[in-house]
Amino acid sequence: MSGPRTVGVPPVQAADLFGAALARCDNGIIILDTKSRIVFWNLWMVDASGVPVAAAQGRTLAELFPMARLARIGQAISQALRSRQSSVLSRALNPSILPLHRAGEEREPIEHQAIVKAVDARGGLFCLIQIYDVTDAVHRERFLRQQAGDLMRLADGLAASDKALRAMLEASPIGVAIVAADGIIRFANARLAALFLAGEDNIIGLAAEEFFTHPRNLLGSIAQPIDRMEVRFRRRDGSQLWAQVSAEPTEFEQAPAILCWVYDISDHKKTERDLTGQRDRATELVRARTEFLAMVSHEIRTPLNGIMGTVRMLDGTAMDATQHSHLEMIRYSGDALLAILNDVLDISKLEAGHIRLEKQAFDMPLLIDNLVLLMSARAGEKNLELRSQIDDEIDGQVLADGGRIRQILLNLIGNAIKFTDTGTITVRLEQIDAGETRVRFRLSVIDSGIGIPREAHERLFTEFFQVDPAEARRLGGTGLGLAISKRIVEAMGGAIGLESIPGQGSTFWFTLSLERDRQGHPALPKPATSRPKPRAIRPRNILLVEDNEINQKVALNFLHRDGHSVTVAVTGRQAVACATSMAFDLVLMDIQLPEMDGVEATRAIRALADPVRAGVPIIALTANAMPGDARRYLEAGMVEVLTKPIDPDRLSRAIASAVADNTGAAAGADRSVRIDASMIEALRNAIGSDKVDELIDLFDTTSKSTIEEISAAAAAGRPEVCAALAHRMKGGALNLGMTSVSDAALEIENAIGENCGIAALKQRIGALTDAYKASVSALRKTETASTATPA
Amino acid sequence: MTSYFTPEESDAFTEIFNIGAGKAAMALSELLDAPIVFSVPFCVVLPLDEAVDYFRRRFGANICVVSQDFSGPFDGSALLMFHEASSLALAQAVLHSEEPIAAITELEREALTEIGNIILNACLSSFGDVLEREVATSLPRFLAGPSGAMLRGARGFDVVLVVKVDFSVEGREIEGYVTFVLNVDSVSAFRDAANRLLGTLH
Repeated sequence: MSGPRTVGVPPVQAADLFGAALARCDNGIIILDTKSRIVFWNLWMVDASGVPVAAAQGRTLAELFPMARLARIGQAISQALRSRQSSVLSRALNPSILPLHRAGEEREPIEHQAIVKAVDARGGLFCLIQIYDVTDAVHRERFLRQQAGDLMRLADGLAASDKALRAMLEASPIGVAIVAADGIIRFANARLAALFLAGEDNIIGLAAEEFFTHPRNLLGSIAQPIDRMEVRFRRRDGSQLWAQVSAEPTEFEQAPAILCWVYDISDHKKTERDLTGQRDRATELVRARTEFLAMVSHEIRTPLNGIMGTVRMLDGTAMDATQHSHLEMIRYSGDALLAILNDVLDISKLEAGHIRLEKQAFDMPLLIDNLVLLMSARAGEKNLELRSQIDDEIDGQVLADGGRIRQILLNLIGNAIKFTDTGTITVRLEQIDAGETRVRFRLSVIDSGIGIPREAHERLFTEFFQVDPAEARRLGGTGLGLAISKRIVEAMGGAIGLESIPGQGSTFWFTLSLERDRQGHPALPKPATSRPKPRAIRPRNILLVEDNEINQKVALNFLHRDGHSVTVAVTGRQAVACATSMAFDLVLMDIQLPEMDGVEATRAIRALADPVRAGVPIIALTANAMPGDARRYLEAGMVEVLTKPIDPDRLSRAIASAVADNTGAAAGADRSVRIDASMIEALRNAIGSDKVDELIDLFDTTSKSTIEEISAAAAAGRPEVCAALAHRMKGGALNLGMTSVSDAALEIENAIGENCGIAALKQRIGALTDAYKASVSALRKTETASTATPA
Repeated sequence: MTSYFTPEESDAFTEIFNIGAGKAAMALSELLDAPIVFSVPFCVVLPLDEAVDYFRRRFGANICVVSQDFSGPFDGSALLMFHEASSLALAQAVLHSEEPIAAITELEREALTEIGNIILNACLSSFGDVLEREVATSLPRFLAGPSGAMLRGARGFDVVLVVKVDFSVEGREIEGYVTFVLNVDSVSAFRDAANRLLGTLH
């Protein structure tokens, strides 16, 4: 059908076709003649203007729309018709070119623009007006413009806050960086650049790793935010930067990144390092000092022990009274030195953390009462009242290291007595708290003494500290007591402290949370005894009373090994006979004996006419372990009880202790002043009255402190020290013929051997005090008397 | 530059453009319902290459151009050129926008095109009036881009008649240029127009 000829359209038909096409065209088409009259008005124009074709033809636009402002389109039409100029009439500048509306009730205005131009045709010049509906575009534009406006305002707001934030960031003393996943710094504030580059300005774009001191993938590994981690960096100039770094994952320009906050702590670090260094040096110095002291103490103690051992051996040899008193002085000084060394060693061990806490059952109120009784004598010497104040309803049965608690209290009470001149010292026990398994106590020692200045409180518990060194020298002491106490309390999980008003007194307190004793252990404080080594002893002449052959052999074996000479008796009666006819240094007495038991035999020996033989030390050897037995034996006059099977160490120790002075003395002697006048007489003759006077003064002085030491040792749970001290005092007393003093001292030794209660011990210490005071006073009188009546 | 026109002829051109500008100002004032003042301080004729350099120096980067081809006693292209910033200011003024306009979108484009259309038609009809001839114009085009590219697009032409046009719209001073890119034949028609005007004046 189609061919080249059929493409063309015949002219007449073409005019019809183009006319029809223009008429139905979807834009407005208006054609005007040179007189501006409408020659063509298409259907779009009919719909939009409401003017039918017939009504439009031959009329001008001004005639059709008399009310409209047509200046602009009129000008364009005239330009087109007069000089063939083309014009565009935009919607932007022409809100309404012609009054056009959509068909329908609403008569919605049609937003439109127009093109006006000249058209030359066969019939002459025409003006072609094309009208375009741009309503949709205008609406879209309006909408976009509004959105754009909103966005602009938003952007302005954001820009303003961004600016403010940036200003804040720039002024911030904290370096802020955003580091991308590839480790490149993508954002940084001025502070960060200043921190790392020191002067150079642009850090953005550098690899963060450049500033790490050692390569590590700090950034790659951030899954969790970092909070104030201390990191050491290297600045561009090579110097070190210590910083506290916080970091968290963030997004930067749509990619994962890390937001870092870097706070310079180099100064803190330096200070910290300086302080740490100083502290380490100080700690090292203290440690070295303590070690040195421990070493020196230990080194001193060894020869000192040699000295003391030699003194003990000398003690048993024949010497005159002067020599003996000098020996006593050596012994006294040696013991004092030993006590100091022990303190030093104690604190060294505590400092090194080598403290081993025992766990014994005891009754706390009883412990305190006993201590108060013990220390009353010392308090009494200064006319001070020492008393206990114990809360009612105390759950006193506890499992703890009673020896250590006694040590602390003894120290606190000792200090209180030392630094108080008048008034009262109260030892107070309060129960703060009681749980199912534990009970918490507060123990205080309240004095009315000189008080302690506030500034000294803290240092008071440090080693070797003395509030007033001059005073300390006068009063004696190592300055270790409180430090030791503090260490012990802390090792027990407690706290120690003080309240003090200078001039009014001090309260030293400590709190302890202790395990309750649910087993109902006997409420007797059992001192924590450490086993002293057997002393080297001289061979003795011993009577062994033992009926069992095997036991005999065992005991003989031990005794011979130590070099003793032994006589064996197999019945009580035999024993009494031996003790009557021969002089022994010691009797080892079995209890269960044929004919006469050990207790009866002991009583019989004690009743002998010869005081020396009656006073021979008798040690019970028994399988009896019934409570109360020991007391019965001691009441009978035995000095020590050993249970079978025989422990060779204990045997040696008991022998050494019992025979250190074998001067006979009767147990249970009355406490009136008994002085061996012949002894004093002999002394006066030998060394002169002046020397005897000196000796008495010396005895007075040393005895006073010895009694204090006995009390302290008893309270500290060191009965063997008590016994040794009492024994020493006994020796001194006998040299001066003070029989009642030596008896009282012996009673203490006996009481300790009996494992008596602290109350009984205290009582005997009191008796010893009375006896020595009375005897010294009596001796001074005889001295005066003998001066008045020379022999 | 004066190889094509004498100073008197140049003065005559300036006068012709002033008449055109006056007409344009009137039309625009009516359209925008605001007083608009045009002035034409000078006009020069430059070879195409020199004109390219001139506008590059003058505008630097981007310019906005409304161009219309014209035909009749002379053929060529007429361009109204603005610095981009000036075109934005002009658009803001004619659109009565309170916010500064940041970019030329469709709306600004239409408005600037019609303004340019009115100015260029007015200027060219001034020539037509002097010559008592029609100077037909095509529909205006809006172009934005580097100044050099605008004029280079007019290859085949030899000289550029550059007419400085200053506007004052709503208190804003806007600087623009009307340029006529002509071939040598058209230059003589221009000269003819200038001489006709000079003749009527003398």
